[in-house]
Amino acid sequence: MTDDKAEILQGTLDLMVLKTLDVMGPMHGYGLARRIEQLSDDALQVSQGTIYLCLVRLVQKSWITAEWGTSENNRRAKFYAISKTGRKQLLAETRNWERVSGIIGKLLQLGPEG
Amino acid sequence: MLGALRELGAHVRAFFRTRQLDSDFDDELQSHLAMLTDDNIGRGMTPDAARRAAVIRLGALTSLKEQHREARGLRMVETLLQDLRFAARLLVKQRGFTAAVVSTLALGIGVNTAVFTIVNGWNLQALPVDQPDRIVHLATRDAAGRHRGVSYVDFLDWQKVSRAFNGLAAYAGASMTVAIEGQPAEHLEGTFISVNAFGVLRERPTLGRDFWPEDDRVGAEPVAVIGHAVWMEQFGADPAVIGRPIRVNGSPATIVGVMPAAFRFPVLSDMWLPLAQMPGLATQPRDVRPLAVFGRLADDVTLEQSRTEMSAIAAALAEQFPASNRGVQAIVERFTERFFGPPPVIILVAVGFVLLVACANAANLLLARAAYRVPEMSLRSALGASRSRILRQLLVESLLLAALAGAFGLLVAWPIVRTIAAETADFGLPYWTRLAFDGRVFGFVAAACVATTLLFGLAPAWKLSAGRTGEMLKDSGRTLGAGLQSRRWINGLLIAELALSVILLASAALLVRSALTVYQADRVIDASMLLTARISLPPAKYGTPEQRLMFYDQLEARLASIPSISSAAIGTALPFWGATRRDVVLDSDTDASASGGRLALTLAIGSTYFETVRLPLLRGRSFDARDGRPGQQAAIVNERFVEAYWPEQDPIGRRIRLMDAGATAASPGWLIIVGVARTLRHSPGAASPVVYLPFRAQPAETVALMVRGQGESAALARLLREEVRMIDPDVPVHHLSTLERLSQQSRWIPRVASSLLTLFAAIATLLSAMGLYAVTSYSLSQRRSEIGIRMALGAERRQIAWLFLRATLGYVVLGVTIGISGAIAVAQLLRGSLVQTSALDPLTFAGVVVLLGTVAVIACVVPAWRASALDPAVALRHD
Repeated sequence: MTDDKAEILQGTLDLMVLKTLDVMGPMHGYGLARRIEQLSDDALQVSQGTIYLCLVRLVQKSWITAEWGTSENNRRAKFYAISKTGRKQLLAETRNWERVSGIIGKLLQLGPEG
Repeated sequence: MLGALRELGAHVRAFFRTRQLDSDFDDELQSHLAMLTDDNIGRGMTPDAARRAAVIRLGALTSLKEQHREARGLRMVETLLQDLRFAARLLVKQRGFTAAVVSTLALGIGVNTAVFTIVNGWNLQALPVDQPDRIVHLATRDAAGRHRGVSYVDFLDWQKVSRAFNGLAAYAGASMTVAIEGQPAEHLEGTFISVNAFGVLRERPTLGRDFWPEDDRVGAEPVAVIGHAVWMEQFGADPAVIGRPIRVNGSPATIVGVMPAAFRFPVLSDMWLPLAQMPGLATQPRDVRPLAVFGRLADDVTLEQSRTEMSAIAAALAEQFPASNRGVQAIVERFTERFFGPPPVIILVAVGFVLLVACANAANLLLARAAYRVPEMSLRSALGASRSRILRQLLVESLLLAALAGAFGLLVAWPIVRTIAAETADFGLPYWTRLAFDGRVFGFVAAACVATTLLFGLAPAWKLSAGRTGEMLKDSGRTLGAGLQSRRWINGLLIAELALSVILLASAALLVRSALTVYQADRVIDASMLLTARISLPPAKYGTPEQRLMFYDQLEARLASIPSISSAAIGTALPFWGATRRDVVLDSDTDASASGGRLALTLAIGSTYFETVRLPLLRGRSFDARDGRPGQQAAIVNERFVEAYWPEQDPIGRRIRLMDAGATAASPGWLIIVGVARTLRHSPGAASPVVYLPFRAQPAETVALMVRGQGESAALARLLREEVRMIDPDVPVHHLSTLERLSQQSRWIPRVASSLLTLFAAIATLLSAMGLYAVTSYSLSQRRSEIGIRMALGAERRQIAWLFLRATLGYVVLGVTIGISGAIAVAQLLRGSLVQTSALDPLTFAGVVVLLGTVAVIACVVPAWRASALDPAVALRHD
């Protein structure tokens, strides 16, 4: 049961990271964590460190790339950027998400008479 | 697919850069913390509080790092390495235990590796030609079930009719006397062979040309292809050797080709001549079968299909030529199988038993140690290790033990393989055999390690990992490990070990007795200081019996006149080897043309044979100069012949007739028995009936020579060569040896079989004794407090010792009893290999029981007696 929950969470987090990087351009781990916290209105109550497990996975899949750089506050930080395959994946995942949420939405709108 | 592969690649790379990536991630986390702290300070926190809040917000660092590593690396490999590291540490720590298990298994794996190396080197080697598994050997079996060759005419018919082969070729090995201008004649192992043979094998000469079809026509100019060694040694690797004239068996021939270095087909050939040059072959009748045939299976034809086709062809020939071919079947086998047959089952089973005993012993050591590991396993299990995780860890330990044993096993196998290789060096084994540790042997060792791991490691690991956490922790493990179930396992394995040891000991004892019987029987003659050699008269020069007799008479006279030679003799065969098997008809038989299945080995001997070999004549007389002349048809039989065919009768003056085995030709004349000789073996194994014929009656082209004299055999050999050269320089002396060596060679198989089995039995017995010792000591250590109480209550030392002895002796008796029943069954399988030794020899079995019983009792008494010497106070405090 806990496993299932984590899996859904994981998939969602992957998608959020990809989308954020796609929209905002290269970001470091801390920035991503902050951004996602803001977007989800702090609904995802997980420790910030979790973001790195997601990031390393995405790097291994070559959906994103990582490179050391300097942050806006002049601190050394690792910056992540979405790759070409990552964009393709994002597109596919987005479509899939829309399709699923569309079905779920319709399902939830069904009244007892429908 | 590509993505998945790339991902796997990333994981593998990450696995090998673990340390670097760890520190990289550490930097990243530090940078994250710094930024988070900065922001917290920006919100008005004190630096200390800001930092603390940051750490909490980021999460547990250690666990995060661990998860990070798992997410990017190879989790399975990492845990495996972890297990290996742990196992290695444990084995180093428990050195005594490790040494005991590794040496036990190393013995088991070692002897198995040695046997596999030999089977691999002899039975499993393929011909070194293209697609060797497609090359098959063809021969025949006559109506009486005897293995025969193929007649020239049959071969031509097979070639014409068969469709299952991409070419059929025939060959016949022959001693060849080769004279190169300006050098003395040399003897070579040569082969008459079909001109298409090299093509069928897909081999070609390195120099010159292959045979042409024209070379096989009657009257073609005689040509020869020589082997690489001959080219190097006799011709100094001269490329101009092509076209050189030589004399082979006294006839001229021209060298047309040189074969590659590694090619000595079919066995150890140094020279090949077209089949057409084989004397008399073209006119031979269908019932003379001197050829061996081989072929390459056609594409898509299986061995089975070729057999079907060949039996149809054989049946058709039998119908067409009933006089020569009735009941003659064709045999098709894989080529290399023809030479070694299937691997020796007795040895394979025996060596497998040794491994089983070793595994049982190792399993017992592991089970005994398991008792001490129960707390550890309980703790692991309590901390959340799954059963499969614990099982894997224990099996990794066992695998490490087995791998060590495999490495040491190679060290055990090496001297055995070297010894066998050295002993068989001059046996004339086929050129494709090779005793070496090759890839297949290493593969075997690896497989043996895995198999033994499962055999000795699985049961203890399964048991140990099965524990219920709570109970084990509560009981502190020690007593539970010695539980009833565990003891039952240990005792069962012990009984199995003892039983297998008894079977091995009994089999070894039977084979040793049999080998000794043969050895003793061979002592009837004095084989020391007896030089042996063969001489081959070139047929072109010595075509008639008279010419040959003249040569031999001259040779005998010359040798008799040399003072350092005390006696010399000629014969068609040497003792222990190579006599001709013939059917025997007795004068009392009603049907004078049917032998009724009586067989005898026959050989022709010169008049000084018995004197030179020092084989006593029991009755009658030896041959003299008149015997063998027309009208003087004499024969001498051996004692065995009389026992078998004329028991309790006087053989002198009786008559026999000898028929070539399977031949249907007109009956030969009667022979009168003039003497009876002591029995001497003329074949490997048991002594058979032998008929000696006067040499004058069949002066062969190739004969054996025996010379007894003073001085070194090397000097004697030089002398012999010189004398032969003086008579005719074209006659080579070859196969120089001593009768002692020949008798050893002829007893080689029983000797090696009995030695190996003795070695196996000794190892098994040693291991069983070790097992008994270990188990008795173990049960003692489990019952220390009990001993203490008993002694405190006044038990005597002897009573305590007996207490332990009684427990183990019961298993010894049970193991030995089961073993004896097993040994009786196995002895039936050995029956065929035993010479004049009963398979149920009571003395042998009694000896085995006494031997194993003594060893077993010692193995039990020593620890039991030591146990009884315990100080009760110490024993009680132990708990």
